Amino acid sequence: MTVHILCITSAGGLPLFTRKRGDGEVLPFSIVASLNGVHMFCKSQNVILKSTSTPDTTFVWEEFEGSIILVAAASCSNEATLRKLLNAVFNAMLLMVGVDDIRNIRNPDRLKRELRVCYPLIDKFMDGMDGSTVSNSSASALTTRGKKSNINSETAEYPCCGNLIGMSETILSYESNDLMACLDAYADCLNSQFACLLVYGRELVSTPAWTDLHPLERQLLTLLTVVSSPSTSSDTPIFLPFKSPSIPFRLIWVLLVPGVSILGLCGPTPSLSEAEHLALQCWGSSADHLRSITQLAPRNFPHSIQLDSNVLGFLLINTDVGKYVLSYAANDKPVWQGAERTDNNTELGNPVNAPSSRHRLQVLQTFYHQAVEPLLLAADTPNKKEKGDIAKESSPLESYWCSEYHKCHGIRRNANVLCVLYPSSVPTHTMRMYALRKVKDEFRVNKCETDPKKIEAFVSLGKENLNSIRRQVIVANLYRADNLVIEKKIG
Amino acid sequence: MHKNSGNIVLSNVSENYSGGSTASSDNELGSQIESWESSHSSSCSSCSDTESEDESVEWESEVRHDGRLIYIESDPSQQKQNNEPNNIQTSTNEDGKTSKASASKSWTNGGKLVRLIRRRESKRHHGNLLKNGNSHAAWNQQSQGILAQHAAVLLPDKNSSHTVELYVDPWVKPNLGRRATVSETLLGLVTTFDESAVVVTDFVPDSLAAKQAVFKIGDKICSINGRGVTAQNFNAELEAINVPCKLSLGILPNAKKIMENDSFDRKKNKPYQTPLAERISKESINSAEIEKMLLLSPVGVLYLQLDGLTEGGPEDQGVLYCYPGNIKSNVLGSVRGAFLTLFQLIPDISHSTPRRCSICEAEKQCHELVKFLQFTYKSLSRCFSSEDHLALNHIISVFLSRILLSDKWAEILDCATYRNIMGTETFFTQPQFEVILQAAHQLPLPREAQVQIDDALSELESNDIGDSCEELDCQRLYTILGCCVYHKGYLLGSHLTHSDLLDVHSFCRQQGFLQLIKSESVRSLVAWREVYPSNTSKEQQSTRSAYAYPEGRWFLMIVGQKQDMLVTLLEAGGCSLSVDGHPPPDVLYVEAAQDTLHHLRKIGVFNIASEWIEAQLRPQLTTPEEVTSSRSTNRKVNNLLGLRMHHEPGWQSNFSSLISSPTTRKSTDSLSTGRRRQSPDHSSSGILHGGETSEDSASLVASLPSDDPVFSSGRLRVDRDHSTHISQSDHDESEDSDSDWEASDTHTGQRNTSTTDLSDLHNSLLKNVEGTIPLKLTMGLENIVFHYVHLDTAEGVLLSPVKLCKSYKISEILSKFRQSSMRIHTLFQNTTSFKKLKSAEASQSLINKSLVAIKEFGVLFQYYFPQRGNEKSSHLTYWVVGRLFFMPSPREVYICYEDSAPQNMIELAFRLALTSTG
Repeated sequence: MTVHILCITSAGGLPLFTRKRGDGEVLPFSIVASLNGVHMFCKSQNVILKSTSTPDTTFVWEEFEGSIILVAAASCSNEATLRKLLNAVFNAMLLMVGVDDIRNIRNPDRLKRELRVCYPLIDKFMDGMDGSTVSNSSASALTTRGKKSNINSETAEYPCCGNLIGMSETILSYESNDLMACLDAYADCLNSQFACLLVYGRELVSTPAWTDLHPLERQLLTLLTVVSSPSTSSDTPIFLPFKSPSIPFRLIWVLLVPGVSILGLCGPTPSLSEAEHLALQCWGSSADHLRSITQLAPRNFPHSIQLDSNVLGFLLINTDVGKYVLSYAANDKPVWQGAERTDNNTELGNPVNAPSSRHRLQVLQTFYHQAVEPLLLAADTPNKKEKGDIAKESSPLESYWCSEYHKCHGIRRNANVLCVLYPSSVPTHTMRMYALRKVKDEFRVNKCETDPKKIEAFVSLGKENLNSIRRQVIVANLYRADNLVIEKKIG
Repeated sequence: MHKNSGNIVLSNVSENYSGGSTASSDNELGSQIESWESSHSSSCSSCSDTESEDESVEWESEVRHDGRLIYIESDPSQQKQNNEPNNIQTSTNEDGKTSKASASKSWTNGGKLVRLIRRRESKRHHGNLLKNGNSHAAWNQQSQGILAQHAAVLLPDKNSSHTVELYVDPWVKPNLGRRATVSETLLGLVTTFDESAVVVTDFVPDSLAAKQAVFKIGDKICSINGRGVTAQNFNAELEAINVPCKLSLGILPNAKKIMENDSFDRKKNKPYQTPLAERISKESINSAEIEKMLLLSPVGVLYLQLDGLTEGGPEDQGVLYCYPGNIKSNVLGSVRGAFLTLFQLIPDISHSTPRRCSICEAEKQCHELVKFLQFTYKSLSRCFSSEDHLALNHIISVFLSRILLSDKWAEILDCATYRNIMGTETFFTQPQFEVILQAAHQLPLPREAQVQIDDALSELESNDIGDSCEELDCQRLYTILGCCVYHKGYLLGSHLTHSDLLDVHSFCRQQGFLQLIKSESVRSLVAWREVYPSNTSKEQQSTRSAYAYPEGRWFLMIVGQKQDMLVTLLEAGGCSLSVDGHPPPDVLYVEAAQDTLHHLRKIGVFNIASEWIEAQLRPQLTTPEEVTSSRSTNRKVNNLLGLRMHHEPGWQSNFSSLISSPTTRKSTDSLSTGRRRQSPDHSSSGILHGGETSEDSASLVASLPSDDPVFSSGRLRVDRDHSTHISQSDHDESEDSDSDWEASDTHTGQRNTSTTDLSDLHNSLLKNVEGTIPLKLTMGLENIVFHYVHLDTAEGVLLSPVKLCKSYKISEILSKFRQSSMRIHTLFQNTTSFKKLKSAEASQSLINKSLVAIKEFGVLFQYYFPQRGNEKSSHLTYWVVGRLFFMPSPREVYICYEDSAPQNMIELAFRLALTSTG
């Protein structure tokens, strides 16, 4: 898996930056030039070159604002995903530089220097691409870093979040409501409507105005904190690509306790030190509370909710608000119980032969990109355009795939999509469907993080359902048919 | 084919005379065989058999200078059915003229051999008894009845008849043979009866009617001397004329005829062709207009040369081929530089060669185009650098217009209509999943029919033609590598190797032959050209195969009649004679192939195939309407069985009552088997039986004994057990079963020496169809399968329902099915391509590791029925599931079914694969 992104000015053909993730060489300048040249040549012939593909690599060209050409080349990605990536990359550029500088490039060299700050963001997006088997070296680097962070508890411990482009990742907790009050107070102090509490880069609670931001903006802002150098607070001037592409805001980021930080968008008034002070005022009382919430991190949903042991991980998406919850460690033991364990032991809670947690994350991501996005979410776009009757005629509801090693199942109800990862030993599809529905019901309210009390009720209901599911599994296993002769492997 | 030397002489003289009474045979056998055909229409002129006698002459004039031939003659009945506005202007065929010399040469060469082959032919058909004829007559009457009903709907409402004066002399009888009808001898008109009307289908050459040019083919004769004539009294009226006189014939012109002044001349020389047939066979037709049309749309083909490009050369250097338009008017041409750059650029980045570039329009089918072109022209470079751009333009234009317009491609020929169609919102090309897959759509027939087909094909392949040559001390011309039979565009049987089948199939598809025989009936189709099968070119490169392909040349021969088509791959060189130059099709081989087709029709294989297509019982399908109706009303037995209403109600109730009462069933079953045992000499009783049943003109279905369905269903079950547990060829095993007489008959029976009764075979085959219990694919009470596709990539064969219901709902569902199946298919490609890699490569490959082991993929859709009035809106949920198998051979199964009982894809696939065993 290799992803290249090239950024070129369309007027002068000057390369602004090239980024590369995965193995493979950095593209030499001549190739960058010819890729751009092809596009330019076509434009002169009144033809817009959009994409080209080889058996395993796809090239996508796209021009933004009439001044920037972005080229993406990636293996095992489809054109649509790459187009999304390019869009996200361009918005990242807007975030840091603002639309005016990009529309009228006066000094390309300066722009080049200014754009340097968004490299980490772009890299982050490229990491999140489908099928990004983060090369072994970097993966091991991450684990060592992770171990270190276990001791230090300094940096973000789980930097590798889902990274679904155009959506922001959230974390589920019962305590949301209590924290909401603190957040509102903090936002008032900042004299801003936009504030958000992050747990390891995942939104926990946010003000209504923050929720109204474009999902991509939210994702960019939260990602910015993840990629920024470790510190306790920062103050970054940013543009909102959709809300205010030309007037800059200040993004104030304050670390409250390790892993938990507060984001606020504000005007010129409160200085960074003031903001830090205000944050301490508002949140000081609930420091212990926040610390306990960090325990949720790998699971991303409360430990009191027990899922069937066959659920290896799940991805819950709400397309309306553009948020998702991803848990690739749904059945791992809570950290406070197994903190002393080594990495290998954390897998014990899962069925045998289950994929490792990193693998699980990848599978879920791939499933999302290959099955959910094109199939379940594809119906979205035409639906909105056409009138109700026609659009309603045939809409996808569920999708699943079975591999030798795992099974995935995605289900869509209105704006909510739930993808669940199972081991390959899960017996029948019925079981999965049943389980899924229950899991889904359970999380419907939970996801919106509005009413924790209802969640309690749902949890008890879920537990009930879980028991019935368990009974069904037992019954199903009793009557389980042997593999057919043709299914058995020879030798 | 039943010809004799007398025929040849005659047909040689009247070269352009198609149809008509050439059977001036003093050969008893020949006329006996044909007698049954005259029984149903009292005029032999419209029978396909008599026509075929002249084909060798007819198509020879169409052979092109390089030996290629595409000759299509459409059925005149198509003319009536074809209610499309017929606005095609035929342009003159430039190639047609060139080949007279070579054609006549080969004819004289063949003459001696033809006689030999004739003798053999008549021997083969010796012993066709009248019973056979009767049953055929019944069949023909049936089918004619259907046809007539159809035609009645389309009858022109234009009643402007005119009168034609014709001088007739009953005393001077032209020697047209014994079987010539009175209309032929007297009027010089070949007529047929369409319902009650008398229709002119052809002219006797040199007759007065032909010279006067007052009649047109398709005209109806409605009166003679003022008296109205119908089919009943037409012959009598003519026979009543016994003195030379002037007749005034009332003519009702065919409203849909091409109203051109010179149409008569052309019709005389050229066989009638429907627009589709014309589009396929004529390369120069309307090419300018089509090219203009294609220029409007974003498609095109460009073949570029990579070497030897210099700076500042001429503008179009390196462009080997460009279509449509010339290099300047074509968008692709102008941006070719981009492609060149990309091509050189991309390998540096990804180490893989570019496959396609998309500018606004992606083409999925270009693979198949490449395959097809390689097949026909050996290699792409050869293809595009050859001089004959006319032919190539034709191919490409057919290809492109089909991509754009799917099924309607043959009818839309000018810019205006094209714009109209593209302008309307409703028109869009449906995703054509089945078509894109590289596999031939097979129609699995009952086992007995399959055996018959195999038998017939093997006989053709045994190359008896060559044997007869040996007597004359000459090497055989061609070796037959294999052949396959299509019926209505579906593959019935194939003796071709996997790769050859794919080649041949894509050839037929790209040339439009499949669509032609699917949508209309042709009188005669002969195609011939040199081809380059893909496996031969591959084998030249790698010598790992034990069998070395000989240095030879390969030819493809396609012969079609009605809706059936036989494709034969011939090899020259090797053990057969090597050829020089561009040989035209060999008469002997064409006739042998036509004869095989004829034989297959005679034993009823094609009838069965049609029945099979109609019945669609194994596996049976359902529609959303049926699903909902069966849910709302109480389920009836009939519904449960899913029987179609076109079956005879008597039989249906019979059948259902049998099924519903197990005791009856058991008793009849034992009864019937007992009866069979009592009469070991079954073939004789079968003859009697067949004769009786076919005597009455009602359908055979109704007159079947009630125990037969059960009997044969029981036998089927036995067969199925055998096929699963023991190999099919194990006859000793099946000898024990009480139904072995049929199997052993067909396997060991020497059809050539022919004691086997064809009529008996035909009947037994028929019973097999009618008695089949519908096979349900899914678990649970109801049948819930909407659609399925079973793709066997190892064999290159596709199983899919052949008759699609024409309801709006199902088409909506099917388009969804095709769309998602396509996606699933591409997803599976990851797995299949990964499996092919070696372990070392696998670690380096760029394939997403999460995708490499996916074997099953399903999507659930919800379909909302359109609301009607105050009805509550209902919805239907259905699955589209694809599954990939590797054992025993790679295959893919896609099924669309309603969401109710959970299904096991492995079982579904297993059952589906079983259906192909018959």
